[in-house]
Amino acid sequence: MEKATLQDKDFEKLTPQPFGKLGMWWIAILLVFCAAGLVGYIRQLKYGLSVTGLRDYASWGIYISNFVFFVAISLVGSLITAILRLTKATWSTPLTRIAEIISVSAILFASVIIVVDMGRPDRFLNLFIYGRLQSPILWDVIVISTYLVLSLLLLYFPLLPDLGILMKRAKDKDSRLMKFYRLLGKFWINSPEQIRIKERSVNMLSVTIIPVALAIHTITSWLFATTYRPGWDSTNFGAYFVSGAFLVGAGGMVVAMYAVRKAYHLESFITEKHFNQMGKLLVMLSLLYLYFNINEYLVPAFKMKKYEADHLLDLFTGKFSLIFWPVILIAMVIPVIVLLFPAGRKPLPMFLVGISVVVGAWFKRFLIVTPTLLHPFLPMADVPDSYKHYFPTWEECAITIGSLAGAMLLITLFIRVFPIIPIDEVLISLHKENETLSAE
Amino acid sequence: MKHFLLNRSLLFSIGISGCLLIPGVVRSQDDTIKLQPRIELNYFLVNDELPYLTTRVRIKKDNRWEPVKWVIVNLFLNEETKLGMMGNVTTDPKGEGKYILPSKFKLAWDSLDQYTFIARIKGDDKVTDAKKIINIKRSSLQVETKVEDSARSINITFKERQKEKWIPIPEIELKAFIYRNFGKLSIGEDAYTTDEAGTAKVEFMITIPGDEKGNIQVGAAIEDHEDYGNLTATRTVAWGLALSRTDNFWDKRTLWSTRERTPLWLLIFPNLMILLVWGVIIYLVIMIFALKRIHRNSLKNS
Repeated sequence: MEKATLQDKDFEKLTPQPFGKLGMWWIAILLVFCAAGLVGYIRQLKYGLSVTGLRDYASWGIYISNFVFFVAISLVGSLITAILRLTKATWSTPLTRIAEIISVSAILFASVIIVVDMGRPDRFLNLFIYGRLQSPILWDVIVISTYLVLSLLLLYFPLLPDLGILMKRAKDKDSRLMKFYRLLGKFWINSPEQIRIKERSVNMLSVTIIPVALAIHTITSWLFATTYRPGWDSTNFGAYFVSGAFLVGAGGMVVAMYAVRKAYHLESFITEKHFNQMGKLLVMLSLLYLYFNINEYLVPAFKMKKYEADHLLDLFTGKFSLIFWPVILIAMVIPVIVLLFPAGRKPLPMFLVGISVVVGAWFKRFLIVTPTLLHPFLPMADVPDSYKHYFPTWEECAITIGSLAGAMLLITLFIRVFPIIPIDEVLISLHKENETLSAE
Repeated sequence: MKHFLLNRSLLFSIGISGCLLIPGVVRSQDDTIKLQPRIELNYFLVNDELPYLTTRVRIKKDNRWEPVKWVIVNLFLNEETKLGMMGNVTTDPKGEGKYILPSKFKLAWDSLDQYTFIARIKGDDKVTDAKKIINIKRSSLQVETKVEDSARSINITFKERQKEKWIPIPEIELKAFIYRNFGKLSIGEDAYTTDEAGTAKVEFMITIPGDEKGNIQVGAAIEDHEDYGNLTATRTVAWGLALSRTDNFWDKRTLWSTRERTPLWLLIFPNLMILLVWGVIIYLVIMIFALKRIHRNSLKNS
């Protein structure tokens, strides 16, 4: 049998490439959205939160929906890198870096959007000056910053051998990129001792990041569940949020896999096998999230307590039903139906399903946040009509879309600078494959 | 003919312009109509210390009194001249203002037995000019507390200054009270009247919580008197029940208390978890330095 090796042309594909015409267009579009978001934010800084649709009742709108979305999607790092690594699911090796980049970008922009939601950014300091450990908001701040550091380390350690390989094979050793690589990993000599430390560190990180990842989204769910409101008053919220986060993370992962594979012609590294495996994972996660959704809505709907009923009927048949039912369909039901068939787990259908999961997941967060706020236990009395509804203003939309574009821009720039497939780990798996072949 | 057409078109233009402008003019006239304000001026003296004046400016709109905010009210003592001008107050959103008598009027204050206070609004954009005058006689209200045969009483004395002498005034109605958190709690009868000696006696027979030492603040007040204005006199006395604060609800370590009173379990367990995770992070950062050290050693060896 023929030995599996990494050919030069394959290696070329794994090294970061300059953007083509399409890449430049992509960057330009993202920059335009980011600039629009910046304009919206400058206006918000100048005129205050009154430029948003946020009022006394709907005080959390699409900013917080977006924050929860970012926190949710960031869980993909722990799912792909940590959980699959520890369960020896080696098929996920080429996907680990994509997952970690998504994690880092999402968690960074989750922090940004929460500061945006505060109105005056200087208020962020109040969390440290006056923060009370009794408040889940402070727990969230602690766990988000911890998760960010862990994700950065989980990105950095496996990157070190790749930097060493890239520096060794570089034609122009004085390029700016090489200088940057040297700054980050000049000390990597690939000695057995270094490899041992790196392996141990990655294993430690994989173990540590799982409880932190579960905590980050559980605590985010507690921001809601620890307040007594229709739709949030649930003991199930932690598990409900975590399962939803894994689903959107996996959906985002599939979209990124497809885009990276297409853009950099990585078909030999991100194979149909990977899509097939991710498809099965998505089915499981969709069913799990569907289960929690049935729990969250069916049990209160069975009892139909007065205030819960107002909220639920608004979702089922009222003004939010036009979002509610499509979300259930595109984010949970359709993925299960499509991905149950092997043809549905091919790259293109997977990509489309991934997009529907991610879009559905964003609107799902909106449905968790806003309708509840518009159904307080105490009736709204003597308030302006605008307080009884919520519709985001253009500034809010621009900032939110700008933040999403910012996260995608960060991912794109990272792919431009670092190898998106972990070269060293691919080489190791090829080496192991060769050893198996030799043994046979 | 040409002139006729010119004149007609001119008249037409003026007519159209007039039609367009009239509503604007009418509206602007509506906007500029100034309403007659009502000024209230009150005199206050607490414990014979610095007197102060309060003002309140309102206008009547749709049969309802509405406060006028941001109006400057000039205040004068005795005469409406530059010499008599004490200062001014600007009304708050409730249409109210407070003014403490300035020290430069101490001489006039000490030497006179009667004062005329004048409040004046002049040249304001929102309201017409208005004036309010009150005449106040210099007086003094004092309280003393007494315990005789374990009977507690509050002795109130009211005097007026006449030709540099303090004369007791009879038949003056006043109230006795105790200061509580949210205002004054009346004690004894609804009202007391001073006798020939200008005094009134209030028997103190109630049991009421005080501070940690049992202190309460008792007092007497003359309210809205035509000649004397508003006078209050108070005295702190340990006639209340001493309250122990050791079982204070807010001092306990609870989920709703301040950061200094975080429940111990919430201090211990999350901090342990934070230390554990950040311990791993610090260890991993040290490992990065270990990787660098290996590189340095390999350079030395080679």
